[in-house]
Amino acid sequence: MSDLYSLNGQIKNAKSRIFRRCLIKRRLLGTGIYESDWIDISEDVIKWGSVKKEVDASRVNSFKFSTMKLTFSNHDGSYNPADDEQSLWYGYSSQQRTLVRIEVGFVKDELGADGVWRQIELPGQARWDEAVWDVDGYTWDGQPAVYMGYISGDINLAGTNQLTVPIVPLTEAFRQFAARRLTGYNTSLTAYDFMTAVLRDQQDSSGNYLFRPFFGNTTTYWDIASTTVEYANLNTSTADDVKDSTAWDIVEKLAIAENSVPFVSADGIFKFAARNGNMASPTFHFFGGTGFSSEYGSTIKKIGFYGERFSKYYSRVSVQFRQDDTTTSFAIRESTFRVSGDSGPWVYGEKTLEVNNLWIPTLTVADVIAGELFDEYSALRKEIEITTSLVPHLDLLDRILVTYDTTPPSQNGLWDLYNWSDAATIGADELVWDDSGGDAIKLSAKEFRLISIEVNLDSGESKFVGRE
Amino acid sequence: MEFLKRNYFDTATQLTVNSNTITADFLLDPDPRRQYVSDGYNNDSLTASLTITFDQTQTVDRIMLMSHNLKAVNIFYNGATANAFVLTGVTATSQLTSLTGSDHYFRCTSVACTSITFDMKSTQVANSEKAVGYIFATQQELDFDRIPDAGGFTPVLKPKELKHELSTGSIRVHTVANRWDVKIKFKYISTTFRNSLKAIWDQNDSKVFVPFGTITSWDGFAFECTWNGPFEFYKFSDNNAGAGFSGNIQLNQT
Repeated sequence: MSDLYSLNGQIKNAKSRIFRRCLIKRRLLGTGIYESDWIDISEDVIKWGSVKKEVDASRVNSFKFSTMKLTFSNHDGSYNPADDEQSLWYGYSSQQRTLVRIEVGFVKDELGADGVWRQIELPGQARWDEAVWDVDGYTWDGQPAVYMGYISGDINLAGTNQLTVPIVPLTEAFRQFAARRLTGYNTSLTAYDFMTAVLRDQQDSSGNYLFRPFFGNTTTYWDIASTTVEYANLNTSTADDVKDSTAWDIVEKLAIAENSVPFVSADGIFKFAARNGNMASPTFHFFGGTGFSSEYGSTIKKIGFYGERFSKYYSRVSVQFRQDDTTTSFAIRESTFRVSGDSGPWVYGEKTLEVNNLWIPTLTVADVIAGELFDEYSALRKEIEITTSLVPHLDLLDRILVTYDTTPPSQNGLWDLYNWSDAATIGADELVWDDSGGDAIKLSAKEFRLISIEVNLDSGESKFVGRE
Repeated sequence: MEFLKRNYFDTATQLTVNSNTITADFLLDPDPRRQYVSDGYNNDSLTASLTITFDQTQTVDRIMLMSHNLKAVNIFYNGATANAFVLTGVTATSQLTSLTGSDHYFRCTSVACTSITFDMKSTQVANSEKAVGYIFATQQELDFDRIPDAGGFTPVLKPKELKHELSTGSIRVHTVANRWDVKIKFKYISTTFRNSLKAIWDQNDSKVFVPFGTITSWDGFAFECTWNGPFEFYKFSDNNAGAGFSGNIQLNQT
């Protein structure tokens, strides 16, 4: 029997109990700061919907974080506007910008001989002391949050005692803030400086932090990779590149300039990180078809697609870093064009990835960016979309393995190879059948990096897109 | 078979415990596996105390302790240990010293009170933390004239399940929660009983349903419910105006 007190044990268990939680933090009426404890309103949720986030999934340098709509029962008026005495927000600030945390995971129950039920939630709790038994990257490290956001949008009462509450991702806190209002610009700002000194440490005139309250209200919820390139364009709040932008516009531009990705992790940490994955080694192994593992079980319901992502193949990368339309304004990396079986432009045709970012300060930096993008996209890489049972703990850029085998035993041969082939090459312990042909997918511990994650909280279904 | 008023204990702010306040909310969770568990009272010489204070004076004649591990518990009202409830059906008061089993249903002489205290003194496995999964404190509204025949009583514990069919064809099921779904079918009920049922239906309020509440060997089958659907008991049984009334009751756990 597997260990049902581990996350993997619960994921593969044929029947398990799960929890879904919706927690909120309101803002205090006078000070406007968030209350300290999360309030659990899960019992009122009628429809959960789904959450999705992706980086580079639809196209290169596309960072998308989904909104979410939760439908609540309002039979007792709990979700009426804040001026209604029945409302959960009565005595607090507006419903808008209320923090929302969505958690999902497994529960293992056990009745002790002492008559006390003990519940272990996974991810989030382990049976053993994590400090002793845990290893870096192991799934016990997980936590149950899958989405962090805040309420933003119209909340309409209807005569049905139900209402739908729109929730936006935490990144909207940057999108809903004009960059010209930020202070701290100077001629030597790096991307790291902007994310930390300007965004993370931004305060109002009374010393209250503007963005930290959305991210755990502490600096530990800001995981910013160190950078060295200085962006002279960010010298003042009235600079051309600043005055008509939002804070998020600047984050995105810096991400492109640094060939990095900005995203909010499942547990609400704002990250500015390299594209090459969170973990050095894969964190989870998906099995499907006839592939089987006693450790991970079978989790794949179906494969949405698998194949070379030609739409993300580029034989040429052009990075424009100066306004002038001259050759010295561009850093270009391209494959040699020749008639050859291993020449990308000849085999696949020539496609150019154009990056236009005038914040890149020098040709040297532009060339590095062009080189990194070229390395990533000049090879035709495969992507896979898998739909699985609930796998709650993975995050963007995590590395995974997929084993999937749809090949049945040979449709043509009735006998195994051992009996019918050369005994010199096939051992007596091998009962190997011919592979079938056709378009069957056959993956054996194929490694991917997650670029899109979607969790349907109503059906308990996960969907992942991975890239080689 | 009884309908009781909705639980007087319905919000955590009514509750005072002398340890582990963080799990006090669990006493309102219908899932019996989520219990209030004392902290630091795993000694039968220590009394863990739990008090429910009502917003207004309430008349109590039914108390249920569910999914608990208590051996000795003293239940009293209005804060005075001498104010024990007088249990009916047995010669005893609510100063209980030798409970066995995990669920208990107490009928008692009705008392108007503003609070109920449970002094949890010892546990069935000695020196364990005191644990209680759910507490009802309420009052009887209707004792059924009779119980339905076996075919007319269909209790089903329905799970809310999310089902996956994997690529292998095997099935994986995630259970969110279990809720009672009870159908009751009566024939030939009297006008008096019909009117009593109608009075319950007319209230449009949730009720506590207890099919077979017994002080000893109780199975813990009780739940807060809503009576959904139409009121059917104006239909004559056997098409005969003198035979009584027939109909169905659909109860769903809240």
